[in-house]
Amino acid sequence: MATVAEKNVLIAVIDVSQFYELSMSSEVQSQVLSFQHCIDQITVFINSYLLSSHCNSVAVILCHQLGSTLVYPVPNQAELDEAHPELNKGKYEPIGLMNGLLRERINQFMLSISENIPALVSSSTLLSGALSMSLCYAQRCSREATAGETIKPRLLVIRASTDAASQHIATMNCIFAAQKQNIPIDCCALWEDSSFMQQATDITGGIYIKIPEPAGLLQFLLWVFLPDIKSRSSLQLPQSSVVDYRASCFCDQKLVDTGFVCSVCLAIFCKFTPICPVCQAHFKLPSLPQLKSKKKGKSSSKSKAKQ
Amino acid sequence: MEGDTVDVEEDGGGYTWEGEYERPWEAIQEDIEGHILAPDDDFMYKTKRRKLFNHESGVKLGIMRHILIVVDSTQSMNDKDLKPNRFTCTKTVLKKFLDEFFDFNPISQVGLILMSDGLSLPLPSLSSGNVSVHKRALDTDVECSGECSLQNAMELSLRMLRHIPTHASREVIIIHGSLTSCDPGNIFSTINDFNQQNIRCSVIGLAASVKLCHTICERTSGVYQVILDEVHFRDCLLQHCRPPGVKASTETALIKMGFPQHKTVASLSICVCHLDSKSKDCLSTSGYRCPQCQSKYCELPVECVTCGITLVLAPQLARSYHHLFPLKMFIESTASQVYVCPSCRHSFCIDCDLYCHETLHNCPGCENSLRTQ
Repeated sequence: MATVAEKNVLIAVIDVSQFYELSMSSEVQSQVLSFQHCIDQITVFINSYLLSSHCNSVAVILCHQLGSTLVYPVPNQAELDEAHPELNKGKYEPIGLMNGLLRERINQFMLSISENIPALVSSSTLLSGALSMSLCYAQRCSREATAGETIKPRLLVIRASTDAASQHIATMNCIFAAQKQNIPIDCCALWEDSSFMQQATDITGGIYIKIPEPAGLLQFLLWVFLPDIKSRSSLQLPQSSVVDYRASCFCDQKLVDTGFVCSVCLAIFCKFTPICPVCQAHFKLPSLPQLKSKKKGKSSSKSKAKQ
Repeated sequence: MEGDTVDVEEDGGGYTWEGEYERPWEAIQEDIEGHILAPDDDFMYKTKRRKLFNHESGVKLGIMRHILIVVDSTQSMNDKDLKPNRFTCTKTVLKKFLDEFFDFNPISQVGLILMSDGLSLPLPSLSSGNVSVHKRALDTDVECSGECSLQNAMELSLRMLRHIPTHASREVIIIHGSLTSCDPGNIFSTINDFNQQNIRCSVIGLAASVKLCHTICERTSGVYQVILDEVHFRDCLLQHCRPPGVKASTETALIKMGFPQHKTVASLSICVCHLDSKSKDCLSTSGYRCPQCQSKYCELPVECVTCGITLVLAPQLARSYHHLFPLKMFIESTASQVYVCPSCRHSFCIDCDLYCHETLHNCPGCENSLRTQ
């Protein structure tokens, strides 16, 4: 009998940081997407993904300022099956079980966060951590695959906060690791554009979309992110705008067209500095003195010739 | 294949026919479902981890590398001790190396030189940062004939590397199949020139250890390796992927670079990099434009032909950062097969440990803990 040759794994990274703040301020709640509503929509999306093919499987990672957790799958699935028989009533069993589990684990996670609110002050979502974690999970999936089975992982990041400059290197490392392993990273930005994720999707060949209306999240998830990678080429998907690959200089974070790069530590500066502030390397003065020395060399050789 | 790696690791194995009669099939183990388990996983992991430990940290590295690979294509390369023959095997190993090399060193340049009939000829893909161009150049038919001249090859590489700015790391790797060298002059003066120009020369011997090669590598602070089999050959070559440490006296410089944007315009134009080629795909509406002189390029990184500025993409620079800020080695804890990150105290299995250090260059534990950001 022919075995299943390909197995798709969708790793959904859900950024829950902003939701928490939003749920605290009740005034805005009515206008924007509520947390529960959002999780429901994502669950519907995951369900339809699982139902669209029997080779599809899902992992869900929640990501927050305090850390990230893998909420699904859980390590001891069999025990949980027995513990919650009531969850399965009237539904396709695995899906019903998964939905219940997801809700329960997400609630647990949010409760654990609410105990540590003071620590949240002025920190940003640990996206790089969640990405590292999901890549390790993807690696584990392909390691655990049986012979003759290929695992096709892909990442879907549901992003709800802004980028943190401190995570730049770590995030870039994740992006290159994903590119090396042919894992596409898709991103669905809810409120603000994320330049890290724009680069990630462009480099790894995923789709980036910023939703104009966060309440319609499910529509976008189903239309854009449900089809598998193969069918993407035959679909008319939203074109991402041109990604800005200009470098930002280390001195005042401006985007530069031309910059000076330290040959030792590759730090980027917008103007010439004699000593590198990052690695303390001493530089020779640029182009102008070199020209002089060339002339000198010529003139000295000429003078030598005359002598 | 596993048996080969084992042989490679144990030095002084002697000739195959002198060894004990091997029964590799007895080492095969099956799990409960009848799947074959890879033999000696533990051993492979140990060697891999040991390799990771070998990389010293805190050393000034030559990140921008200009590297010339001299490939022997003399008569001795027709020998069939590597399958199918030495030259074909070298080509396949080289292609793998090029992929890895550009992955590790995105802002570096590679040139290929062939040695045959006592001469050395640079391949047309001279000093380019483009993998596909090199691969195409390697695929052209080459007849291996004549004798090899190390001096000619070194003189040519000296000429090619001389004009490269001193802040870049200049390296030559010679893949040497013959046991002799037929030189027009005194090779030791060439070695001295190499030394003066700060060029690092490494040799990978495909046959036996040669004293001259040993001297070359010693004087130019390169590495001399003699391969045992195909697997070892690949390992030896891949070691050169990691940027080497450079002398403290090496000049540092602030290099002016351009960060062009990919733009699409209405009118068709030809890119500068394909001006000479006769193919039609050089005409396009999109490309990277040099911010200084507006010349158009279809691929980066490249040195602008018109104004000489180095053009790169910011992510290509970011790709090299993991060499500069390497991930700390995980400590093997008392419980076997558990590895602990020294900074965040999270424990990892051996697979994740290797993955984090070889590919990801991040520790998921550290990234997930709330640091003082």
